[in-house]
Amino acid sequence: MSEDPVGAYLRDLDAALAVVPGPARARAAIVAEIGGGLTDAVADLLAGGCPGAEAGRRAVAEFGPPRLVAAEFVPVLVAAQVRRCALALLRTGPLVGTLWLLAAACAQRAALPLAWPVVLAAGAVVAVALAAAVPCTLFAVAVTGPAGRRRVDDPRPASWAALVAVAGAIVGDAVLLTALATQAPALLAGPGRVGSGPALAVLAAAASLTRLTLAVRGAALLRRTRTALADSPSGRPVAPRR
Amino acid sequence: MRAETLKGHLDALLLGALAEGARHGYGLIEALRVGSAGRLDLPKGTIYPALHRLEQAGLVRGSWSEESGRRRRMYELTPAGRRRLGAERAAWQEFAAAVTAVLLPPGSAPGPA
Repeated sequence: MSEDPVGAYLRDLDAALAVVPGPARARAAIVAEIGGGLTDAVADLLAGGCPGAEAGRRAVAEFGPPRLVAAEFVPVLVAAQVRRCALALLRTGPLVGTLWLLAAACAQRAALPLAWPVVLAAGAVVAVALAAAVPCTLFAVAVTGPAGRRRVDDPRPASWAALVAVAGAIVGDAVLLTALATQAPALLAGPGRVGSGPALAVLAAAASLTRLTLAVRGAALLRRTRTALADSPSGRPVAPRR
Repeated sequence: MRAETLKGHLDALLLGALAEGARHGYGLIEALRVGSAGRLDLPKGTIYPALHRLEQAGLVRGSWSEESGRRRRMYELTPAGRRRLGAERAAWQEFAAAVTAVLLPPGSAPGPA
């Protein structure tokens, strides 16, 4: 018995979309929506007198090859992925930053015997990473949302910006965690060990470690978006912009 | 009409087909086909990515709704989409008038020479 052409088409479309980095929920919604369109197309063909088996075959032929349809979705899924990564940075940044600042303030107030030159050097590196990451994050969020109306068709600049932002977060978190590791003996031995300083430092480290893990994963996804865009024939505007 | 020729105008065509009210993807495909007396015939599957791009650009709004027992994703123009459609219409009229003036001057035969 031959396979239902519509079912086979949707399976092929899902497989073609699966290699494009993008939110899984968005991919499932796309397949469901196109499945609905194919169902309508088959119903129209049947109503027009087309035999049952032929209606399915004609409907999928009229929709175009699944790989072509999936390729047209690449900028859409990439923009969604880029926006997701950038929004995650935007939401976690203030929390992670506040925890580290509070931990540093408590350590200073408790006069812990930290190697302050090391702490200040780490702070300087983090400041540079932030100076690159913050504007790039804001840019990526802005151009992949409704505010980016004229640029959303081509997510390449946003993808670059998000990659820089994620790299900044990775550098910042790695430097902070390294600095903390070098100062751990002083933190644990100091008079503030029963205060909130060490506890805040542990909390900040946990937050940074979590974000670092997510950022490394995000960087890998964003690198894949760049490959997907390079391979896609549709990583460009559909209509001429004025 | 060739798909490649149409592709450059797909955004404007979709915005135009949504001017009269909300439609789902297949409804838009049919609106383009019927409205052009069958002359606009794109691979139907390519309409959907274009709609998603327009949605990300804030020109149309998409939402799932229940219709005749089936879930469908309906699209409608946003205020920004209406403004964009107005601009596309004006640009097209200007372009068409200029090309017509050169290709079909008064007194020229409309068919093959």
